[in-house]
Amino acid sequence: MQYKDYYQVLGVARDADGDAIKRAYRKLARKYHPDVSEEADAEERFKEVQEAYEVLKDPEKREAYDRLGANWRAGEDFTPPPDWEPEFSFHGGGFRNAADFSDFFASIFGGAPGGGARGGRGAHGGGFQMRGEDRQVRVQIRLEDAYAGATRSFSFVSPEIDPRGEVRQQQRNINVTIPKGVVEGQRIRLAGQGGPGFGGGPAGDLFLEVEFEAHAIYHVDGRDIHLDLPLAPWEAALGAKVKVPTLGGQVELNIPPNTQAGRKLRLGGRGLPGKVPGDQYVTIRIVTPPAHDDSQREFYRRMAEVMPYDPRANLKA
Amino acid sequence: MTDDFTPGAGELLADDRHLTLAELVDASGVRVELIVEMVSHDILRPHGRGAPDWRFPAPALARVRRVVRLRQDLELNWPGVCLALELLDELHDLRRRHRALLRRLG
Repeated sequence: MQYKDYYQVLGVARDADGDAIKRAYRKLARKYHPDVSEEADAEERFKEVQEAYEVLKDPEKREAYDRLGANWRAGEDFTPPPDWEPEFSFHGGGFRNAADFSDFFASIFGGAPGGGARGGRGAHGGGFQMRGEDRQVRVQIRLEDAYAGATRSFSFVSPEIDPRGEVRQQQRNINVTIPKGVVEGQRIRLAGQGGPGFGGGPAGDLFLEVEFEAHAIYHVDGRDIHLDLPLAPWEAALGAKVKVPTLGGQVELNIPPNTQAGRKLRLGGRGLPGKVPGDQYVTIRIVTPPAHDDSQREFYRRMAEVMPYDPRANLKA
Repeated sequence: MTDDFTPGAGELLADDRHLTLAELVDASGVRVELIVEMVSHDILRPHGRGAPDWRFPAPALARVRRVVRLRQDLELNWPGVCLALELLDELHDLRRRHRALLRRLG
């Protein structure tokens, strides 16, 4: 097992006073808190910080830790002195997340049955249980799956404690049923699939936060779907019936005569399903066919003659 | 080493699903007094007039857990928790929109 330099973790000197330790902890806790930080190793860093603070804020634990001496280096192979007896009890209050503390911590301060800090020399005090912690993972799904529902497999990396008590990044695969009508930002809860419990306590939950993969033609706002619809100038000018893709299949849309670019048309109820289903909004784009030969160029010139028109009239001072 | 969860194990925390106070206490593992306190601070907004009638939208579960973490880990008091939640919601929303825009830009 590896020695942990708690002073280094908090970035304080060995003679730092209680206030300096508290300040350092608060600063790092804000930086690495899993609810705030998006850094991949934030959760692991935060646990290290918590473990260091748990020891250094408590004069008795700090004194015991200091007794190990100042000559150890972080990461150095460590075995507790042969006559070392942990004298610390586990009580519910103030010993949060002990389940995730390292084997090093357990060897110095004792622990409860299990692995890591749970695998130490047995909890004094007895009967102390704690629920494992929740884990949050962001998953990207296809828009089509949100529309119709699907079962999908996701891989993610999760910190796990190996049999030696070391924290390792472990790949996990999960199969999840995507409920029909899920929208971005919603969470799917997998009960009992989070961090392991402590002292026989239940495991935490895994929360999957849903995001949509970028889509080739749609973009999404809540339950509403947006689509840019290209029209030829004559379709926009004369009106037309055009086929428009929606998540539920093609529908026919009436384009009124003299439709201008940027106009939005609504297909009611064609967005993502829900108690109140979303709509699909179609934004008109007018695409000018390129003139490739003389007769086509002549045709554009004729248009200019027959229907003189100033598209920049409202830019004039 | 990988492990697989069985399909169908997930439960969607959507606004149109609701939990009673007892269900929320059970699912979150926190004391009922703490939930009541969260309601009094407007952190949770259940439907219904009094505690026996309260119906919490399912996302309240994730919110309760977050409040517990913020209070314990950052030693925040209630006004601090309320402010942190508001700012985190905003941060989260902005990050989500930012990622969506980056994906659209390809």
